[in-house]
Amino acid sequence: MGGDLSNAPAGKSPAFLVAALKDPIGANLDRIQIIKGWLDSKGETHEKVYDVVWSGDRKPDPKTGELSPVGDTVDVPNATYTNTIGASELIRVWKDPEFDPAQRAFYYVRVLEIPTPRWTAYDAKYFGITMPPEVPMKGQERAYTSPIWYTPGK
Amino acid sequence: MLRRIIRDPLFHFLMLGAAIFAIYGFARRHSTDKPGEIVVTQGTIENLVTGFTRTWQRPPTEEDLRGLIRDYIREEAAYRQALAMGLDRDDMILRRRLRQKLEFVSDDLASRTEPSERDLQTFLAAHPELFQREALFSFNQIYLNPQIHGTSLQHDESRLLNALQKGQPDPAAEGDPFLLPPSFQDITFADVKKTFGEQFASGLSSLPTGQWQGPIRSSYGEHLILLSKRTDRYMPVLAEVRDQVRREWFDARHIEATNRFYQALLSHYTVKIEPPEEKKVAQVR
Repeated sequence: MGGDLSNAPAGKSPAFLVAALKDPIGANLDRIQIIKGWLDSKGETHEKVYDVVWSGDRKPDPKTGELSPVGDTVDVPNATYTNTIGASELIRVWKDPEFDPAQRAFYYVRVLEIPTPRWTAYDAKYFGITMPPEVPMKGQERAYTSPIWYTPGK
Repeated sequence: MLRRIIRDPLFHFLMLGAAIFAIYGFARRHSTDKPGEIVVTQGTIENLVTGFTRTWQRPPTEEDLRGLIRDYIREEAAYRQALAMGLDRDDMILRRRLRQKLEFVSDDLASRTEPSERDLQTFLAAHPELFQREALFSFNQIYLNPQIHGTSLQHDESRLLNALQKGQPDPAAEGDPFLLPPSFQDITFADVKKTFGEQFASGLSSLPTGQWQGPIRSSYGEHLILLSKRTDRYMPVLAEVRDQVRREWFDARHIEATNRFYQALLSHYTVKIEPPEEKKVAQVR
């Protein structure tokens, strides 16, 4: 996993083929994201999260570019969820829309599952206890890859 | 003969007695009611030198040796002082370490003899559940994504299945894009379960071979299957699993020896257990 890119041909941006398959005994997938980090000319670091491919026919908000949440099937008291939302696999080619060949950058991929009960919910159910209100009871499990580094050629 | 003596619980107990006696004698010899004296013998110095050489791959210089001896004297004095103050009592780590040393001695004596061919054969026959080989499957699969086919999933499936059974389309060109390979060779039942999920694995194991079948549901969607070969679970012969049998044999011997050792040890004690307070035992629904 991971890798290095350098010497981008003039006028071209790097494109990435990303694919993820769900865990056969786990939850469906919500979306795949690519996280890009870069170093500007002042030497400051930046990061941006791009939604690359997602389940269902959601459309990103035309103004903010934000994608709506996948939904939520978690039944906290019973610590269960259903795979009625989300996708079992996601595949897409993504091209960096803001590529600057003179800028150092890295890219890595993050895959989000649909919301599932957090361990606190399983514990509460198993031991029959009530958790304090500030305890999070669900979460979106995720997996991420090693980074691919872009270094400008000399 | 010697081996039998060594395995005898009575021998262990005598050994233990001797050890206790030696420790007692040692403690007395070093007890603080005698005027203190620390003697660094030639033997001790030799031990220090050997230890240093093993660690640093060279003998100690004179200065190193002075340091080693100085440290040994400090350690000895601290050790005696700690014993005199009773710091060894109720110390979890010391108790664990002493127990470990004792078990190590008994284990070393009892269980290092190599098993004979016959021992292994008998062990294999007596524990089929440990060595049974899993069923293997070789199959091709065509994936149908319910999200692509929607309500026409069943219709598309039976049409495709019909065509496949007549040998019409090229299986490699059919189905929806899918990350898992279209064909699997001699994959174990457990691996099928890990890759496709429980439901698929149990569906696959009841299929007849040689004909396109299905659909079978997995965690991803539905699959049409051509099961080309199934190897049922079987008992391996010794030559196939010798290392594994040998390992399990040693493990069984070790457990046996430990049990015998504690039986012998505990036969000299009366054990009383007070009932635990109820609220201190975890209640699991």
